Amino acid sequence: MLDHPAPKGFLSRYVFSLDHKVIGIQYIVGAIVMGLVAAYLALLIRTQLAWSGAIQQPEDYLAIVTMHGTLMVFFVVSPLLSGLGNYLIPLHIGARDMAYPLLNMLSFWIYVLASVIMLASFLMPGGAAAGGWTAYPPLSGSESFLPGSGWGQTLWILGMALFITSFTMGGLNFLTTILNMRTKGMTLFRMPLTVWGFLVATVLALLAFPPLTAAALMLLFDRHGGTSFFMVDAVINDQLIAMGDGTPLLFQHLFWFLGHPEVYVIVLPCICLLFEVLAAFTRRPAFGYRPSIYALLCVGLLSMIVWGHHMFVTGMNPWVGKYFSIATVIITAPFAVIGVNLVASVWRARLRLATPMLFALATISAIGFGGVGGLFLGTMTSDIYFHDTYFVVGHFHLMIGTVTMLSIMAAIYFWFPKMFGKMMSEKLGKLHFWLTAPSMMAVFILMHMQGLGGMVRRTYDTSVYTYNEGANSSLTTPITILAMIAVGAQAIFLWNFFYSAFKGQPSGRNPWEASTLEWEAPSPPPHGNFGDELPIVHRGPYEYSPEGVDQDVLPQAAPDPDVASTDTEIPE
Amino acid sequence: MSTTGIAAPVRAQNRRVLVAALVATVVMLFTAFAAAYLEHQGAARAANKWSPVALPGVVWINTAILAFSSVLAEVFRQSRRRGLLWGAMGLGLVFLGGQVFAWLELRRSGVYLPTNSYASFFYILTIVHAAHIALALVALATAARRPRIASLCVGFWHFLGVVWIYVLFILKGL
Repeated sequence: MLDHPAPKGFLSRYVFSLDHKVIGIQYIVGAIVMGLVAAYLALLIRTQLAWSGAIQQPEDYLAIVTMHGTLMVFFVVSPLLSGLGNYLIPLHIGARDMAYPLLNMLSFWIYVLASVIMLASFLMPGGAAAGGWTAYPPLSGSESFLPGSGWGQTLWILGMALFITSFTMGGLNFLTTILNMRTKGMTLFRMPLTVWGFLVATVLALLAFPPLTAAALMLLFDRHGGTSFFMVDAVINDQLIAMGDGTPLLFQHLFWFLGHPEVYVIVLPCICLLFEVLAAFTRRPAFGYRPSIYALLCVGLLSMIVWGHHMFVTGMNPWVGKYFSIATVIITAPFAVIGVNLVASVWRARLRLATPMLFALATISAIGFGGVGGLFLGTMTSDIYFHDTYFVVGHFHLMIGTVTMLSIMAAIYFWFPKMFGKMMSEKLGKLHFWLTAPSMMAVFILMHMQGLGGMVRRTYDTSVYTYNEGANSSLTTPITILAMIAVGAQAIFLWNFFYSAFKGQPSGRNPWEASTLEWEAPSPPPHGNFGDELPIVHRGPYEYSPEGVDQDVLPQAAPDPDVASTDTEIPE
Repeated sequence: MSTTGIAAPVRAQNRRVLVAALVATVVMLFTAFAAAYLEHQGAARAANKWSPVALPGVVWINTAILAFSSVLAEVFRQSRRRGLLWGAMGLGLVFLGGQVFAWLELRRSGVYLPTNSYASFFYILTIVHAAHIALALVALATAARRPRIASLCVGFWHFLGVVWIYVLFILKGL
């Protein structure tokens, strides 16, 4: 039941592959490479802050901050999820491949092209884009404001346009595959929560990216066509620069109409896949399967109408701000349902503390810390104080940095045996965990402390401004050292990943004794995933420790056990 | 393992989902432009600076051409007479030519992309729409040889006609 025959040569097998498993791993490896660049940029930022004055020029610092943000959100975390989604979705739902394998391959190679263009922008005259990952005009609109807003910004827009194309193509594939390619018996309400997370995230991405495309196009016209959609007259060094009478605020609306849902695009799959890991390592069903799905749908819907909470201090009408504030606080309700379900899934359970489980547990606590910080930023009155301080930096790094990275680590350790048929080293995995999770959490929680004191973000040399002195500025150097530990620890992961892929202990088909469909396939799954017959699904995804059955787990594909259903029926 | 491919009904369903999702993204794209237009219009009117440009008359002829092209495409969908599809596509090309003519006409009368906010929006909306029309023409061309995707391609063609009416509504009605 496959469109494309098994590949023969090296190129068609490993490079221009149509197989969703290879493309998934390609995405993950590509994102790891971009992740190394982004992590290097993060260290440059932190060294500049801790030992300021010695290292970079101010323009370079701004370019480094901008590119760190852009790469992390769009070129590291998003493609890591594209990779996991590509790998897992067909296996999870019992399909032989994605609905459109060629589209799948193209979307990966367009991502590679976009990455190359983004990296090349460092080499352009004026350096890489420096107007922030949000690219707010007028700053991003003209070279006369910032050297990076010349060629660097043009390549940035081009790279983003290609990324959006790639991500949209991937999204169309995800959506079609999840809706249509499920195997017999795999109803929507029998899908693992990971697939639900990808489904909601995909719909959000497909709806939220087009307005950013529109904004990018208008910005391009402003920069090169002389229009003034966003540009306004400006005075620089006592000289009036005529730019027209556009509305910069409009760009911010269009940007955050994407920007906020994008947060959920990358966070929701990360949260949903935790349920899977938790269930396998507590040997109990994930708590509240259906409520989690309904909450997920509510979060998805609400996430489209709260973007203005990024813009409370922009001069937007305060009544509009009030609305966005209320909507944002409402979103905490469905989110709390998911959070409670996560905690309840481990409540009084007997835990198997393997590496994936450790990362999953740490992710839950990061969601807790990050979520509480979000309340202060979603409320307009407190946000006016916190805006543009390190409180914001700490908050979003907890949510879309720590939550996503820890959760993706949980996923990689969990599904690695399926991908390569080998186990990753548990010893190195635990060392990696204990060096990564505490230091990452500490970095961003300490940033909250600096923000509480009023430390202003995006500042090249914080010591220049006297108002930063009282702002827990003594924490800056410890944060940098912790960040170095967190980044350095990834060397252990890299070694573990690549060494185990070739030399790890054989894992067998189902090392975690998990219940979902991917574990029915051999590890690694062959071309076409499931042999001659596709598995048939008989039940929901998390039937661990089923009642009245003398079995630890009832896999989704296992036929009903002999114990007659009379056992489970309630006697009259 | 058999290599007969994905079953035909699943394939058909895949295509419907794909096109529906594409339609949704195009709707969001033009909604964003409409929102941006309204914002500019409001700000400019408040400052007494809003100055819409008279649209070149050829725009209305283009509208009629696109509508007629949709009719031909629809008759093709029902009768599967390929000549009608070529007709529809030819009219689509004429529409594109007409749009180029409209741009040149505006340019002759001294209205350029940066002239004012209204002109900028006229150009960007029509250019983005024309780009979609050009891609849809490629899709229609493939539909001639692949009858199974013909209905969906024609449906998308109708949709772009509706988008064109929407663009006119933004530029004239709002």
